[in-house]
Amino acid sequence: MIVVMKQDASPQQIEAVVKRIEELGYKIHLSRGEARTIVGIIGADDYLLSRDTFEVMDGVEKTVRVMQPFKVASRDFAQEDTVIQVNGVSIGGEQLVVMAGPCSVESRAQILETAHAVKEAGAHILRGGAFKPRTSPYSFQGLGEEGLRYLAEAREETGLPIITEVMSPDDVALIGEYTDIFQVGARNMQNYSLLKALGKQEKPVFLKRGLSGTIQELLMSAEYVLSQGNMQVMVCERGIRTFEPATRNTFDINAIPLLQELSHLPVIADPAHGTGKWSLVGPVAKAAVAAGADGLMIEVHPDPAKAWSDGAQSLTIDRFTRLMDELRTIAQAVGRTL
Amino acid sequence: MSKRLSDCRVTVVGLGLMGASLCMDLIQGGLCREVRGVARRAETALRAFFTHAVDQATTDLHTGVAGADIVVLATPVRTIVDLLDQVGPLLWPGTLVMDMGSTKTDICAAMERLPKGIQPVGGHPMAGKEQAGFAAAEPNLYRDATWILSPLERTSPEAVALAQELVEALGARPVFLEPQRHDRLVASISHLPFLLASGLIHAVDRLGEEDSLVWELAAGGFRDTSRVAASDTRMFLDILMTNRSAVLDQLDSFCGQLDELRRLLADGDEAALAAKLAHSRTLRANWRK
Repeated sequence: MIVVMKQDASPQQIEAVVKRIEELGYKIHLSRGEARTIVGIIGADDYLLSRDTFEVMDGVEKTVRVMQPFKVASRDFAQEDTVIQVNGVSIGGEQLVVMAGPCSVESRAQILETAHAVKEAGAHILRGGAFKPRTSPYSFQGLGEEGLRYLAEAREETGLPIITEVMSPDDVALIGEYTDIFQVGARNMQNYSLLKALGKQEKPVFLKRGLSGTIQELLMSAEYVLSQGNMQVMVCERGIRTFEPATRNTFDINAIPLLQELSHLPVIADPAHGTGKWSLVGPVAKAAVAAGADGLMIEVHPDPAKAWSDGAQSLTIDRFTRLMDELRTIAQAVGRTL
Repeated sequence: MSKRLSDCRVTVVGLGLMGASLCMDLIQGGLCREVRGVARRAETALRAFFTHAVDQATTDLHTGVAGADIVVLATPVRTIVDLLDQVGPLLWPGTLVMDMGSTKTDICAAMERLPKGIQPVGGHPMAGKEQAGFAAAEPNLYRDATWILSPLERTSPEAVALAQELVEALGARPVFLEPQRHDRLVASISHLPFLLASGLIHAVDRLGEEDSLVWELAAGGFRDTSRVAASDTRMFLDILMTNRSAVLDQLDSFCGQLDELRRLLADGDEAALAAKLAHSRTLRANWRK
């Protein structure tokens, strides 16, 4: 909470406010606003303070509750946008970044074929899941380390950096031997021990918004990673649960510009999970770029009908190639390059 | 992507004589983008704020250093070591961290432990007054002073250049020294004199217990040789405890000199004593040039 003093508040009145804040056990922050002094109240539970405590004091114009519990993620902390470098790819800069690939790594052939195809179409980073968080324990759980090896081989052949999901703090070391970027899935957005473990290492972290996660919860999760010392964090809007059953999730286009306003972290859009239907991926991808996203994550599969997971939302290679062309036009219209 | 001082937000932690004087120079010279001060007590924060010694003042370390490009630690030496252990996770990579502590070995060792990406440059401005605290602070304290800089091997050249830019902008003269060499030299010309002054006062006091007139007769000579004993005790205690081994070496060396003078006096060896005294007179005269 901050206390805004009146324009003609005297030093004694300001001192009295400071004294009261200290008596209540908080620390203070003094700054100058538009011709008036602002006294910030600092403490973990400052939301417990009653505004009346200060508004009755002489010289106080008003109090304002500051609703941003995240610090390092916020724009107050870093003046410039974060740009993350991964093997020559810059994420968060003027160039849009497209991460493409299958939902799961199913076989060596599948991932190599897809990798070459998406590279050809202009993608910058290869995605592929080796450890899959399936809703059902009877569904394909991923190839594990074997999948990671195939991803690494695809990187060797194409030069594309790889991003893959990590589900548990115990897997961070193993996956870290292969991946360039750690992906935290929506269901793990509030897995705090995983986030802390990722914060302690140095590779970039890609954080997906939870199924019913709020923007603030997403940024607080980012804060977990950032506050451990790993500043290479990007956030991803991938659709949220709403009452609408027609689509798998509702892609929250609001999140794109709102996250850009609140935070300096790169903002990526995932229109595949966001819609659940391949025919909607294109239009929503374009909307995200127009809304200011720094990049996209798109699922691509050589034969979606035969995919072992999320086939319905995957694009064929042809459709992806065509979408990339269309995206270039949109990017240009909003001053980005692709 | 090198930063210039004028683009930087500077946070000074510790608003005593050294920290507050630095803030005043930065503000009055318009040398940087913003000056934030962190004080232990709200009272100091208020005074610094009301007198416009800083743009913002706070009693919370985290709030103070958030978003800073340069952080200067201006507290007593052992507090600096504690702060270095706390401040790491609060800083953005690329932040320049400097200090103004009077000993460097312990501080530079703590700086090694800062997270990767943070740029540490140890420092020691050879300036000051016996008076301590915010009330003693004044602008231009560092003009024409020597400012020792001890960058670490891990420090980037850009960070070193920025530290040098800051020192020179204050009118001080940067001198680069390794921590151990610095500590040995200051043990000799600063820490030893402090102990000697303290010892002298105790000796005079001893006599004073028998004959109190000694204090009335004490004049210029006593004043000059006892002056530094008026320095802040807490600050010097930190110095002595963190530079113990170098100070003990210099103290032993001094005792050796004293023993020699005593021997010559006890033996009545006037010729040798005269020579020794004339030599020290010459050495001092040469220094004063």
